[in-house]
Amino acid sequence: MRLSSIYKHGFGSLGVTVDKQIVYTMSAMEHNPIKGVVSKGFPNVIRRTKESFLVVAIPALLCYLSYDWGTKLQAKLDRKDPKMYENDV
Amino acid sequence: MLRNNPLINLFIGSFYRLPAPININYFWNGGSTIGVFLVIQIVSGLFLSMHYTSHMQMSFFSVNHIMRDVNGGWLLRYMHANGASFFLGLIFLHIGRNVYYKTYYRKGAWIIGILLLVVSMLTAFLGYVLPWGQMSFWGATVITNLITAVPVYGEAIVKWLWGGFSVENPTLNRFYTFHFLFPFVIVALSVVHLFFIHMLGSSTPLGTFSNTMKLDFWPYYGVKDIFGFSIIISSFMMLVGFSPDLFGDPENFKKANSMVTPVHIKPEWYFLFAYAILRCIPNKKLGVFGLVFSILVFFFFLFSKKKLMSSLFYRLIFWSWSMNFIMLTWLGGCPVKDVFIYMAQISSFIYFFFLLILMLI
Repeated sequence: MRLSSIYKHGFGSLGVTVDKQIVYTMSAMEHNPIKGVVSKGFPNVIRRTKESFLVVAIPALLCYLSYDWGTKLQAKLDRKDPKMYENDV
Repeated sequence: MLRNNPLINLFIGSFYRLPAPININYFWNGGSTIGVFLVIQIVSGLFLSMHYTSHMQMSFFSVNHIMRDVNGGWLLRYMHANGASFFLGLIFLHIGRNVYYKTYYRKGAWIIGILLLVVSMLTAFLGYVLPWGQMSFWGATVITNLITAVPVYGEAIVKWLWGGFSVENPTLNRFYTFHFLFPFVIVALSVVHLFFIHMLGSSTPLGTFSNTMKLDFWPYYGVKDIFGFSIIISSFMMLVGFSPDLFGDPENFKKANSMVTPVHIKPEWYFLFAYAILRCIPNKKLGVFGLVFSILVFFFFLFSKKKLMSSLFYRLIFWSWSMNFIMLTWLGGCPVKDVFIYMAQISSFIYFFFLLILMLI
């Protein structure tokens, strides 16, 4: 709501000239309201996942590897029983 | 004709026929879902306050009374405790969405948003002290003692805050007062936040303007929001019903004892990233500065130049930063041992350095 629009039309007018309104609707002849949800929707999910997979998975893998390295190293340093490190190189 | 009435005009213009872009995705549900959890917190908190006593001799037992004797008290308490986790978790997701889609060019909304984060974190911290368990008391002691890092006046400020020489009954009372007050400050800031957003309308995932092609908010995004609420509220109620102590600390089942320090003092999960940064810096003053700066650094996004859709490099840095954030959260909960401190130091550097890169590209 731009201030000038608020002065003119009151609080709630966004200040843009709305000259068309999009309305989504189905054909009156269409009997299946969820047509294409699986046949088109599922391949679309696969496509979107493939596009972003590496960008998310590579940092996640690197962080998991650091977490694994850190916990194992700390567990090794926490050993107190001599029998647990008698075979260390 | 309906629009002649100012209240109805407000409702119609801000909600019912609010012009919204046609291509916003489920990440745009974040704001309204946070609002729902704010209402849940305020209502559950209001009912809890009818049974809670804020005196240090009675607070722990009053919480026990709520859990065991008050009708539905266990539900109210668990909804309030876990609602805080969901509230802050959703705020983190919301901020992440804004950084990913570069909506920080909307300076007014961004500044109010970061202020909302700060006040929410403060409210959550104050609320955690109220049950007066071991972790409540010692968490309050650790965090309030950080104020002594302020040069010259630190000691005086912290004694003024405590209302005494340590965390005691005056501290509990004033924490209760401010914990009750701050949610209404959050509500007021949220209205201002919405005002700034509605000045330009919602952003879009592509970063492009959408003034030439808009949808009415209702029914499209109204129903989408309700669908989003139902998913989140279902997972919330599953947590409350089946695993309500998952995010809790076992130490808080014991009444506060100033003579017994817990082995591992740590805050709730949503503070752990900042706690890791605080602990890994050996110098006390720099550690406190790191803790505070880890939140205030987001204000520096105001100086970024707006660009359209994020490049591949930006997205890679963003996801690396996000995974690093999760690792910092894990490190904040780890005991203070060499390897974890070393990892926290590297993670803290990555946290600030990658944020700087995100601001520059």
